[in-house]
Amino acid sequence: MSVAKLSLTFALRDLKFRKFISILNIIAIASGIATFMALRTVSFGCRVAAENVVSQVLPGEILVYGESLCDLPEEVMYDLEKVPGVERAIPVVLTIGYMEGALTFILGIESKDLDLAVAQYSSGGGFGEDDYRVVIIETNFAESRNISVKETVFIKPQISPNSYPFRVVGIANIGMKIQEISSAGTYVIVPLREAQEIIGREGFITMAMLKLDEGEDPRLVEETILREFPEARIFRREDILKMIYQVISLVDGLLFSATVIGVIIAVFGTVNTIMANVREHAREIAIMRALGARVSHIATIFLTEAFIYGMIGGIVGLALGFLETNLVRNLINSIGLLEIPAVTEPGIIFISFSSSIIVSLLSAAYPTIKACNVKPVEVLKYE
Amino acid sequence: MSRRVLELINIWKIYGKKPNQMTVLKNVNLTVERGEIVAIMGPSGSGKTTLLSIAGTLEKPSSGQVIIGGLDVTGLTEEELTKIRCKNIGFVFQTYNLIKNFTALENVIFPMLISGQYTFNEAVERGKELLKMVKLQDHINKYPGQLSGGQQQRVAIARALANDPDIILMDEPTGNLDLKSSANVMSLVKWLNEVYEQTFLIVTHNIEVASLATRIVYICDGQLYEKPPEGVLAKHFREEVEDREFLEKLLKIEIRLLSLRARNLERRIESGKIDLKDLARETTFLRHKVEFLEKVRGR
Repeated sequence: MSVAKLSLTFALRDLKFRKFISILNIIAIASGIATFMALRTVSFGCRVAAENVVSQVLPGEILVYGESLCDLPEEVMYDLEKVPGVERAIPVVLTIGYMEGALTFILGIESKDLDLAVAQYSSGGGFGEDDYRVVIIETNFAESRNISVKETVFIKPQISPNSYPFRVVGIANIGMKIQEISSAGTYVIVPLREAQEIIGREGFITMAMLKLDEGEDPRLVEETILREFPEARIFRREDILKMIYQVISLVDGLLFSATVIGVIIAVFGTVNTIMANVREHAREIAIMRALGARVSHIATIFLTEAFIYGMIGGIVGLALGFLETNLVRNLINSIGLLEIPAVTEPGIIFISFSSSIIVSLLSAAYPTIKACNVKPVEVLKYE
Repeated sequence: MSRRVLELINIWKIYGKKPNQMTVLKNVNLTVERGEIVAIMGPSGSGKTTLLSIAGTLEKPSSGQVIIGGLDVTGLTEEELTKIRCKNIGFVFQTYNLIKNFTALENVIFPMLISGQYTFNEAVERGKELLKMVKLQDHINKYPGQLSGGQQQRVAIARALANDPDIILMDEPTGNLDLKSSANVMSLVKWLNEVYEQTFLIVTHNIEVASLATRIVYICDGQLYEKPPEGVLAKHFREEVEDREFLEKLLKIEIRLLSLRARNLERRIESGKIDLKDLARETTFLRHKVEFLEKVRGR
């Protein structure tokens, strides 16, 4: 313990007496750690954001749809609800049209399923089972076109030559939409029957969204459905997430190479600093050896120094990492690709900090071996 | 407790391999008893420092035995020797060799802490007393760079005393010090010897430093003498001068140099790049040299 205390004193004085080199070394370590942490955190945030988007767009874990647009018979809903593990089956009609001259995604759902589609009403409310020719429009669109509740808007499906008048009953933020697609047009929600009627597909739906019982394995449910309806086409939410994760992993891999470069710079910086230190202290190492210091004592001194570099580099790296993460997060959010939440991967702080110390200690291994090999008789060479 | 703190028996030290080997120590025998101050004197390159490094276990002899405090350390491993150096031997070097990252006190407590015998607080307490002993109680927190040469050497002595060693080895302890600091350091050595019966082995060129010793031994050409070896330099001189073969070589070189100078003179005359004054000086020089060489050849 006493030798450790003296080693710490020696190492701290070295940092103090060689400020410039020490600061450069700490910056090298910190930049590597900061990049690593920022990339991991942003990557984790992207995954969380992707999960949020997919859960929002697809409230159900499983999508069942037909072979072409809106050709799934509505009666199939009763059968799907009976499949073991299915909690609720939601019929959906999704089609493209125009409203007030703007490209519009028309979402037809039953009034009882509105809670899944609407995130928040800004004025008005939903529609009931018996309401006819009513529509909920997006807040942004309503504001840009100065449309308010009770006004009438005209909606024209792409596959129909006619325009249909709809009374606005609610203005809301629509949840069940893909943000990226919505930038091309707006979303509206109409009762399921109205949607079927205006595209001339009464009795048919585009897809059925299935919400499963808590803890139910979507693959087992998929197998059951395919046994009963071999011609059904099924898409699992986890498949979509898997695809997104694959893309994120690919981007992660590319960005990781940048981190590796950062870490290599940190390693070289530390090796160089400790090596210069060993050269500078060669005489003192020989003195210590002549005075009776064992190899372990010499190693303790230089590893302590490396540990301090790693620790300070780690702390500075974490601070820079947080700043860098916020910067990248804000940049991505401002572009509007994804809304990355301010979440940190569990353990990333520990991993970053311990990596900093491990990298620093490993970098110090070679210089420390060199230091331990200094012969005590070297001390007389300086005489 | 053995009276003999250091015994060097039939020590040989040979560097390199045949045919380029160099024998630095030749069958050296030396015994130092407790309470002695032994000074080793000798010219540069005589093997003083090698002898000191072998006595201090910093180097191993090519053959022979090193016994410290009654223990034969010749065959010990480096890590075992480290322990011996830590507990049984103190070192004081010509260039002080303090650790610059440590204060005076930390330099003194370092050997105590690595010996594992003392706790940090005990070492600090002892270190302060040792610095008081060398009259540096007011400088305990100063770095070596903030101390004068004499003060640094006294810190080195305090450090050497840290683990109560059997013997303190000093390599030219006053070599870098002015007269006053030298007197200061050597008086300290004398007091420590008289009051604490501390044993010293001092390597020095300085006859005045050696005169403080209780015994002086002389080393010359790798051999140890109890009395100053007489005519060693003269003997070497005679051997060198009587080497006729080398003399012939020297004469040939001189003739070659003169012929080059004569050729240079010829070229300068042909190109008209020499005035009469220089020409006269050059011819006089060459004539004088040729006459002298003829005389040497005639001897």
